[in-house]
Amino acid sequence: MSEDFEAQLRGALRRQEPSAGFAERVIAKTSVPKRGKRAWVVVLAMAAMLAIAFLANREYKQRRAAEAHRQAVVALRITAEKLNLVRNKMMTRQARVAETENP
Amino acid sequence: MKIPVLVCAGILAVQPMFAQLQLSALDGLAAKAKESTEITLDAATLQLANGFMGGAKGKDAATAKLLEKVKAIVLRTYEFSKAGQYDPGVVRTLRDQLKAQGWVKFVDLNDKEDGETFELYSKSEEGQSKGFAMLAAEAKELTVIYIDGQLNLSELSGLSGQFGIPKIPLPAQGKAQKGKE
Repeated sequence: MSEDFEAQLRGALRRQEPSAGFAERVIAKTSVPKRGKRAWVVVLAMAAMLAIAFLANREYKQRRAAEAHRQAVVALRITAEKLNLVRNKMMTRQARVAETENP
Repeated sequence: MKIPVLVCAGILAVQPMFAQLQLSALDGLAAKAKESTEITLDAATLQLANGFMGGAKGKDAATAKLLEKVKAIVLRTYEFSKAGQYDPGVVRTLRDQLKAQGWVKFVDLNDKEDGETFELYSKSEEGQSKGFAMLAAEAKELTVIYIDGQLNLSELSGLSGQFGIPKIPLPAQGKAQKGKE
């Protein structure tokens, strides 16, 4: 009984040569294509991230420039307003002085 | 010994052409004011703004031209609901700073009846205008304007009609219009 079992075990564990091209088939099915796909995914993800970062930066700069432009126009508008107010007051005063001198 | 010298040289190298106003005296006024506008634009931001207006036409082109030689703009304006809501000493502090920095007052308009003071200052180097400042203290409004760089005031005043401000008729024009009516 035990001899029969041992013979079966020996038969099962006997070294067998793989069929021709077994190693190539294994390599082809496993490592090489997967590694290639992963690399492409990584490259595409990085490219997408770079594109998004570039667009976001451009958008941010445009918004900042638009806001700076708006603020500059407001500053110039207020300055012009105040200058005209001063000019108006000076002209009024001059006119008043001229009226007093030449009634 | 060399390190402090280098540090001093570095500090001097990054100093603007003339020091800006210390506006800490205005701290807290925005909270008291009914309306306030606080604008600070440095050279880099103005360059960005001018880049935004690149190739502009009409009033934008005129604005871009005005800002071409401006290096910095600092503007603070506070409008209060009642008179006497700001300390007149603030104006004195700013006036002293301008005097200490070599600014020359070219307009000093005092209206005692209305309690208003308008002071215009300029800074020039080698005969060329290098800056403009204004302190306008009205009963319910305080305005501080500080512009570093060349700004053509007559061009700016001329643009007023294009900035959404109605042109203020000069008294003589006003009289003429009244006379015609």
